[in-house]
Formats: sequence, structure tokens, C-alpha cells
Amino acid sequence: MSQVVKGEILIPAEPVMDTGSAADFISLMKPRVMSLVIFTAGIGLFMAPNAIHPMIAIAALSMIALGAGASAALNMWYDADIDGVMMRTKTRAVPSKRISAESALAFGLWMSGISIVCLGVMVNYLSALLLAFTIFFYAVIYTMWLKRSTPQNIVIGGAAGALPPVIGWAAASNSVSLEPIIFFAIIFFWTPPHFWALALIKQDEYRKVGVPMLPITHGDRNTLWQILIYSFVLALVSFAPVFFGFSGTIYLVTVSVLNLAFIGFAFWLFTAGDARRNYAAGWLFGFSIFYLFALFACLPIDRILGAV
Amino acid sequence: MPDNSNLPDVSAWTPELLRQRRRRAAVMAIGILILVGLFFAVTIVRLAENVAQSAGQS
Repeated sequence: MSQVVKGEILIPAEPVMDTGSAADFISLMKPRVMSLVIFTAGIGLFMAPNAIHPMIAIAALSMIALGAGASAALNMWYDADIDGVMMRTKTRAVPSKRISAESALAFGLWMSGISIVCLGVMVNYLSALLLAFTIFFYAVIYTMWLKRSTPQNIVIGGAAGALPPVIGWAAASNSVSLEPIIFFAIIFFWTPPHFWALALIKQDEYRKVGVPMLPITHGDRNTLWQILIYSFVLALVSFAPVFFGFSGTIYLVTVSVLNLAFIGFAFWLFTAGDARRNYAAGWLFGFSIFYLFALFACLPIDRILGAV
Repeated sequence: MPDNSNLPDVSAWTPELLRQRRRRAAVMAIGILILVGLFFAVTIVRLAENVAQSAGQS
């Protein structure tokens, strides 16, 4: 961009006039998804064997949140074409032209850089490396490659969403051990039933924009089977903290109830007829969010009450 | 005479756009201040840890 001199000040000759407000830029970071990232990363941080200073913990969580927001902004930049067509996403800042695609890209890249460097400098390099990998995996591997090319997009791409507790653990302990890998596995196996429930409801929109979600490529019946199978696998994996001895009775009882409800919702969806399918899928989708929050909340509660 | 032909077309900057620009700048300033505060606090914590470690060794 050329520049002209006015007095001592350099002024861009072709100013970019985004009409987006600060709230629009914050919405680029998907604050609701960010809250789940902060929560799971916080649990990873809390469950780690090393106690770290609260200020370092705040710094770590802030940078992990910023990194998650940055990858969301990069996702919105790349997906602006399909977001503009889908009802669920067409009011987002980029497709509705409140923020230009270039600004969203610049915002995402800057926030990525800042979050990775600051996490490395303020906390440790292992957590920064994991954050960099997570952003790369979500923005490049999932958004640019898998999402539009395979029905396994959210299965493989789910790895990015499963990494925050591992980053939190690494921030506290500067290492990765079995416990954070189990946290990773829980979120990894939770992701398919969660997103396929949504994909069942929104499949017409995904079909319109050519995103090969499982219900479109393999049909509803196959998707319902997969949801049921993944729900059972998730239930098994969710007991791993008890099996490996780092969670106790409180976790065991709560997670048993949660798993019964999850499998119950999955089975209800499986048996619901065409007329009730979207209704049942909506319930499974909503409950799955509660399930993950409750399961991860149980880990520190069990640790605190179990030690009393 | 300076050539003003390349200057931005300020007529397109409506009061609403300018207000939003100011708000974005203010939010950015708050973000930078928070980051500076975080760096300062973390530095103090790290210094204190190092001092405590050195005192323990001596």
C-alpha cells in the first residue's frame, strides 16, 4: 500500500475501512467455544501434579484462550464463502461484510503469533509448541483440508478441540503424561456424537454448501449407528481416570450417571422416527455440552473432596 | 504545493464509522495494557521464585 506524508504522519493512501465494531472482532474469536477451551485447559492445569503460581496460571489460560480465538478467526476467514450461504452462520461478521476477509485473516494471524510467543515466554516452550500445533491443526488441517474433503472431518479435526487440557497440563508441569492423554481421548471421542447430532439437524445446509458431513455421504441410518458406537466408546474412555487411579468414587458415580444419560439420548435418537429425529438430535447435542462440562468439573471436585 | 491526491477520502468516514474506529482503538489499548500488566506480574513472580531458589541454595 502506498503512503503519503502529511506533516510528520504517514497516512495510508487506501485506508481499509472496516465497519465492524470491537464486538464484531471479539465475535470472530467464537467466545462460546473459547469458554469451553478455557474450562478444559483450566482443568488440565489444575489436575497437573505441579502447583504453579496463580499469576502464571492466569497468563497461561489467557494465552490459550487467545490462541483458540485466533484459530476461530482464521476459520471464519477461510469459511466466509460457505458461512454466507448457511442460515446458522450467515450473520457472522465476515460473510455479512462488517469485517473484511483480509482483516479477519490479519487478526487471526496476529493473535496466533502473540498467543504462542507470549505463552512461550511467560509460561514454557512445550505448552507454546502444543498451542502452535493446535492452531495449525484447526486452521490448516481441519478447516482448509479435512472439512471440505472427507466425512471423517470432525473425527480427525476433533483432535484440535481435544488438545486444550493437554496444553493446560503442559503449562503447569512442562511435560505430558498419561492423564492429559486420557483427557484428550475423552474430548476426542465426545466430538463425533456431538457434531453429528448437529449435522443431522443442519444437513440440508451442509449439503447446500458441499461440506461432506456423514449424514450426507453415508445417510442418516449410518450416522445414527456411528453416534451410538461412539457414545459407547466415550463411556468406556470416560472411566479411564478411575481405572488408572487418579479419580475416585465421586467421579465414578457422576460419570456413570452422565454416561447412562448420554447413551440414553443416543439410543432415543437411534430409535426416533423421521418425524422426531431432529428433536432428539437437538436434545443429544444440548446434553453433550452439559456432559463435557460436568465430566471435567468432576475431576477437580473429586480431587478436592477425595483429599479431605 | 503538496500533492493531496493520494489522501484518504475522509468524506466516507461517517461519524458512526469514526466512533467505531475509536472504540476499536480503545479496546485494543485495553488489550495491550492487560498484556503489559501480565508480563509485569509474571516477571515479578519469576524473579521472586529465582530469589527464593537462590536463598535456599546459599
